[in-house]
Amino acid sequence: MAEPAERTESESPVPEHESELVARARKGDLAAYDELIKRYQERIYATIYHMTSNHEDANDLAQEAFLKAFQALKSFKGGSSFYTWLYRIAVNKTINFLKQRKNRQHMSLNDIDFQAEHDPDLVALVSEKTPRRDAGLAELQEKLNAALLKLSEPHRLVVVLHDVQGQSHEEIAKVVGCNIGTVRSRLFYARQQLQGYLADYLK
Amino acid sequence: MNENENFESLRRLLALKRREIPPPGYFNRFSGEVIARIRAGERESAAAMPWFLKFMQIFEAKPAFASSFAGALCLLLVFGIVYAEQSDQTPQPLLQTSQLSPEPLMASAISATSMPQPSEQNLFASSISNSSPSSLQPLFSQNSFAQPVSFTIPGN
Repeated sequence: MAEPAERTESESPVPEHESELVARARKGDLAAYDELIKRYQERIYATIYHMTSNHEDANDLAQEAFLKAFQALKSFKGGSSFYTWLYRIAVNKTINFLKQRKNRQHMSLNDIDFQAEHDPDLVALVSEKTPRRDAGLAELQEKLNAALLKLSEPHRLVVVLHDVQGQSHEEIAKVVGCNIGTVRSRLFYARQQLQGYLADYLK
Repeated sequence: MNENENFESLRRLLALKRREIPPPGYFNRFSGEVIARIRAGERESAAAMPWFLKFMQIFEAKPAFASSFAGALCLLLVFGIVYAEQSDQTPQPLLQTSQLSPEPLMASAISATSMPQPSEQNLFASSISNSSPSSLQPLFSQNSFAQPVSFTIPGN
């Protein structure tokens, strides 16, 4: 089977434009920073949401990540893209938060896009291949999120970034700050764990 | 069968996560909320900042202002040095000034020695020591307005 489309740095927004916005934002131009937020808010929010399985926590953490990035803009040397740097801030904030709330995980899940009911892959998964044929999408969503929360933060992160967000191994290595081999091994182990947790819902 | 084929079902299940979406209009408000928090933070930090840091921030924002301020300080320093050298070459005689206006000089001389308020005993002592020269005597002798005085203690 083909690998899902992976997003690479070359597909990120035009570097020149981004660097201009960053330069303006560093001088305190909030309009430029507003543009940068709009550009990355969905990806940053989604990553944090998939890590926490909680909309309110994801909202707070995403806002704090953008706040911290603005305050730290003067220390941004441009060694990596602004997007990678921002991602790293968001991921570190999220992991620190998850460590603190270790034993009091509370899910607050977003609604599933109504078009999901017409997604052939998901329909097949729910109605044909799943032994629990009575399981609806909402139940499946809950079980899936619960299984993800059972993974350790580093393993959950690579699954979220690769299998949910569609990032490449190289990009994940940059964000996480480890080598590609580590990313691959964590991904393999995390998938194995998930397969075990979700055995009832997989063929 | 490769690694991806092994996990194909799982990957399709994980695709369900991409379908989870926040409440409608959430992303329309998001950036505005972040910008509002940034502005609120800036206002708070500006209010809590001491005047010296506020002054230094002007230099951070406008480097040209910093260099012109430094230039002005240097000019002031050079002017001060030149002025000090000129005044060393042509010293003003102090006594000439004192003859024109003796009162300020007297006041400054008295305050410089920080003399205590004379008590009754001190007054007596000063009348006794009238004949002997004091440190202020040369000043008095040269100043036409100043007159040496003697106090008599009542009852003597």
